[in-house]
Amino acid sequence: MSWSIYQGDPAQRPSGKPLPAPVGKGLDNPAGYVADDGLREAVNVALHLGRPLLLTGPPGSGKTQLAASLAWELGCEPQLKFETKSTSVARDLFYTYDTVGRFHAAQTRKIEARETDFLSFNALGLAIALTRRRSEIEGLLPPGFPASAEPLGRGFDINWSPRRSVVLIDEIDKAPRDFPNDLLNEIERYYFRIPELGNRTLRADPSLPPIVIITSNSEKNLPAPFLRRCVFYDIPFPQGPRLEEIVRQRIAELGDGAEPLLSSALELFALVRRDSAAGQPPGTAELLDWLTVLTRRRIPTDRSLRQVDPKLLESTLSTLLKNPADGERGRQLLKSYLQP
Amino acid sequence: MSQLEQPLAAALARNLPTLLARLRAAGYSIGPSERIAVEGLLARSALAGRWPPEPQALGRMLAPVLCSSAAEQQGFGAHFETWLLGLTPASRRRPGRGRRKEQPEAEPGPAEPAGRSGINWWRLVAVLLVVVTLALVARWWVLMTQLDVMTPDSPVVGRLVPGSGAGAGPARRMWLVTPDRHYWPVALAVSLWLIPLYYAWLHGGWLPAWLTGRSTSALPVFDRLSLGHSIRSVGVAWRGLLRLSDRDLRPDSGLQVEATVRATVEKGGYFTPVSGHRPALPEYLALIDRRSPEDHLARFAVELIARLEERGLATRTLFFSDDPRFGVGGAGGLGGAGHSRSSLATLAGRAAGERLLIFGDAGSWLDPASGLPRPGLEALKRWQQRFLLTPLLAAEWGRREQLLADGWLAPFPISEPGLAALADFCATRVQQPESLPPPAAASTVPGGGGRYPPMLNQNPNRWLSETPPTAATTRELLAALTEYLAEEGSRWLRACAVFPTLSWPVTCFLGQCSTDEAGRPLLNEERLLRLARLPWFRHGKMPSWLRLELIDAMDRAERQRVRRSLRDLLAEALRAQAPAGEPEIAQQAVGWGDDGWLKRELRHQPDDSPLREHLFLTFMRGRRPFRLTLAAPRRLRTLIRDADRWSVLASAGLALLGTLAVAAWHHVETVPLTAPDRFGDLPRTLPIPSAPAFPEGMIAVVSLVLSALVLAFYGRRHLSLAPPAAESAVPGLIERISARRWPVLGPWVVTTWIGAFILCDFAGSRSGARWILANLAALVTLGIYFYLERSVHGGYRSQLQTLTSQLDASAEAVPELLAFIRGPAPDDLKRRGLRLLYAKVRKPTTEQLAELEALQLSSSLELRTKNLLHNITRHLEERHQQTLDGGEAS
Repeated sequence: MSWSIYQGDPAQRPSGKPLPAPVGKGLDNPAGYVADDGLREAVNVALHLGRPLLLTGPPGSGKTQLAASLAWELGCEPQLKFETKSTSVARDLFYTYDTVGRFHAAQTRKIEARETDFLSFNALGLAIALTRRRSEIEGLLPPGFPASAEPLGRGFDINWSPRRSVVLIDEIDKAPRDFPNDLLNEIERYYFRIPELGNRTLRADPSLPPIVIITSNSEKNLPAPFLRRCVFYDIPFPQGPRLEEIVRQRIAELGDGAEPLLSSALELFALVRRDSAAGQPPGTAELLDWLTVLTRRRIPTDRSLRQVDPKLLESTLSTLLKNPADGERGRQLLKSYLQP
Repeated sequence: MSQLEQPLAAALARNLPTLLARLRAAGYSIGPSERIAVEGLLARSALAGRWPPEPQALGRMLAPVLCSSAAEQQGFGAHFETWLLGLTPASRRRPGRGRRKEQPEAEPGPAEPAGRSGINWWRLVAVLLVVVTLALVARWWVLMTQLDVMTPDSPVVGRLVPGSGAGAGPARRMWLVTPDRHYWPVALAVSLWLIPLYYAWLHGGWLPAWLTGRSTSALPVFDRLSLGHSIRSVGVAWRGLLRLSDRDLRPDSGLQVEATVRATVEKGGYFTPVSGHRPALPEYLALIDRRSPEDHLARFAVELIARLEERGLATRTLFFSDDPRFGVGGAGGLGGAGHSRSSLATLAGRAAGERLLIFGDAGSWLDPASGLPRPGLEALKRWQQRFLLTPLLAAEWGRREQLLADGWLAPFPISEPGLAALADFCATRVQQPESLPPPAAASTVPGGGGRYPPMLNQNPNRWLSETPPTAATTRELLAALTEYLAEEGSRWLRACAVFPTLSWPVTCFLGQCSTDEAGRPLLNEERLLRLARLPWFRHGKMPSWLRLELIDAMDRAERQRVRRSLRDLLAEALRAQAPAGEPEIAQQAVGWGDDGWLKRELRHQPDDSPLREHLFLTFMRGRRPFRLTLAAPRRLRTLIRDADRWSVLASAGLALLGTLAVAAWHHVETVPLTAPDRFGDLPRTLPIPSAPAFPEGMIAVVSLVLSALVLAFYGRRHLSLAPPAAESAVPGLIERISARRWPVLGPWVVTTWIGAFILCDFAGSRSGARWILANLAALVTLGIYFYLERSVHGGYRSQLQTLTSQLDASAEAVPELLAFIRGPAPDDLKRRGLRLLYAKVRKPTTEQLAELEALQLSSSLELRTKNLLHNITRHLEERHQQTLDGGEAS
């Protein structure tokens, strides 16, 4: 496979060659997730207590990937993910009701339309529903459930056995303040009401509470009552041997025998992090991207970075340094690092 | 750390409340649910066969339940370790204090206070010296009483004056020991004391401590202690704050069902979707002007924000100092923990939907030259709701507030009416208005006092300087403060003046302990706000002269009350420092009468601790602070503190040798015999030491010592005849001497005089000639010095002339002139430079004024120069203000 897919040449005619698959999926493989001791213990505490686990940490520290890893390890796949937006309300976590469609149905006099036709469960609502047998909640299910519910899909057993699910509420700090405030009882007792259906309540089986992982970038503080209902862990940025282990798990090409490249790359990475001017140093994700690019550029893994063409290395820096303020400094740093 | 022993496993559950209490005291949010969760986890752990748990695993298990932030998680380890130490056998056996030594492997047995063990060698030397002196004096006394009066037949006389009798030559100078002139052992004993006294004076800190009001820049220890119930939080409880948590109406893209149904019905069934607004809690971004770590106004603002957080609102706080265009991230700031700076544009990009509350002065936002908002503040307009909460009352607003209100920032006073007005505004408007008049309701003067003293607005840094103003100015200031704060506030201010630094928790504590006539604590939000506005509370420090004045203004009863309050505070704070597991300290009765324990504790404080500060300690001992205790000028402090101790010892040794030499040599002098008729043919004079020998010897010693001082501290520097370059930081010898001319020249001239006198004496000159030659030598010394000084000063004079002609041409030479005033030029030329500055600078800039203010804090200027600088700075500030107001500078 050639590195240069795009030539940037006006004389170049379309080649029609197939494009290689991006490597991003591999980096997200839950099987390769490495948790530190503190995180492992925090997860176990959350599981024993049946409380949500609130994770904070610098970007790229693996907060979001933990949920996938947990779902994979516990056999609770697929994980159910809710991506918080700045306009999210608490209800969105459980379900969405198509009010416009309901009005439209009323307008067009679709008599056969039922209330649940306009209901769709979202992450936590889905997880709560899956803790019950179909027969218990038939009256609340939208048509085509569970096939119609993302991410369950067609392969999901229509008569599922009650099960626990892993729910990821990602970047909760993006949401308005009312969002966590309106979830207090719901995340404590795992239930929710549907006013559109006459305030019917859907409650999780107490013996199968959903496993809720909440991530936050700490851009805003969360209300104290919400925090009290969660188990908390701040994921520190991985250092030294742990970082190396993460890289080896994620990038197969950097297994045994790749110590020279890996150790020098980690050394340079540590220097860049320390020297980052813009206040947002590169994280694990950037490191993995950069190393992937290095391997794709067929840089020999049995050689240190100091033995690699400096121009080639410089061309890969853009994966590591995203901030314009860091660009020139990064080049200077690389230059001084490569000097004997 | 090894696994906990089996017998202690049960201690885990029993002592768990201790851990939770410790965490709660440290600010962790620990309640019954956390306790239950922890107990449940321990039970689960036991069921899973992990009992007793490894300590590290136990900590990892408990932390996620008990912590709710990254900072708490980080601090949890220390609390947990300390708690665990209390459970392990080693620490159970460890008695005594040792609060600085929390090693788990501490040896059993009484612990020595850290750094205070061993023999005190200086005490031993002092005791030996006393013994030697007493012995020598005793020997002298015995000899005095035992020896007879001299007679011609005295074997002593016969032995030492051979050939006495008619025809003998003139008496020769020789050693003679006589009973009533046995000076040399006494002189030796006295001289021996010179060395330790000299050393102790310079390095032991006795006299410097007595002469110097010990200043400290360390934060008081109370900031790092949890005083628990002793200090309640301020608890700003204004109604306006409650109203700030009223919900906003935000646009909602979803359908309003009822409104849609109604509209559809009204339209005859034609589907009419209605979306509208939904109520949402407002979110706040606070930018706080913080001038110092102990800025009380900033802490007040932080308290306000904390009250909003308690009501469940999302808040972010950033701090700035002087330049508000950049903020420094505080806890929970943008981008996570850390202190990365964010520009206003970056903040606006991420937080423009929040209400922007800026706590500060309007002046920080305006360019002093143009009077317009500073460049770079356009990003402010991206916030729809942006407010300035200013410590100035509405009645005190002027042009600056009006400028800002004109489409930039809506100003409101930080007061209850101000916040209420702000809440009203937020409830009724969504968009920033183009212009906003000062809210009428916010014009009242809360706290029961008068207006803010105008003299504090003129050159605020002047009031922070340790150089006291004139007596009249001080009286005027105190009267203005009394009017501003009213009687209760003044009492509170006086109490705060006792403590060496102004610290928020101590201020609140003293306000809580002091009461008004009705018995209510003086601490309330309005009064606190008035105090917080004062420049000393913005910088966390009050100069000694003001502290003295305020302490002097207390009557006896007030002093006793304040003393009692501070004792309680000290006792609580020091008790809180004691590590867990040592209840004997906590249980001791504490009072200043029982000062053995308290003195021991205070002795453990570091040298720079505010608790060792002179004024504070004097007050706490029940004495009036000594007025002559004032800070020595920096150069004197440098002279007596920073000297190379070996050269000091060498010069002390020189002094000793000089004493011995002079005292021994002048031991012999010819005097008339007391009973000449009894001595017959003996010479009329005998070599017997005379009274003047002793004082001369001591004068010589003193002059030798002073010469040694001068040589040691100044002689090493090279003699420079040219003024140093502007960038040079090291003035030459002449510059140094000319700044403090007579204290250095005086001993030099005296030394030269005495040295010349003694030399002439040794050379056998006659009495009259000795005097003439000594005077001549002194005059020559003075002449040489003034010639050198004139040469050096000549260089500075020509420099000043050059600057004068440059300033006549353009104002670009002002920075050079300021550098000249800052440099090592003599003070009289600096004063000329200041007058030149006043005459030439018609439109001073903010940077120039800032530089002048910084110069006022310099200790290298004479008092006369500082007073002139102060006056000129005031006038230049008035010109600057006039320029801002658009007028011509007078």
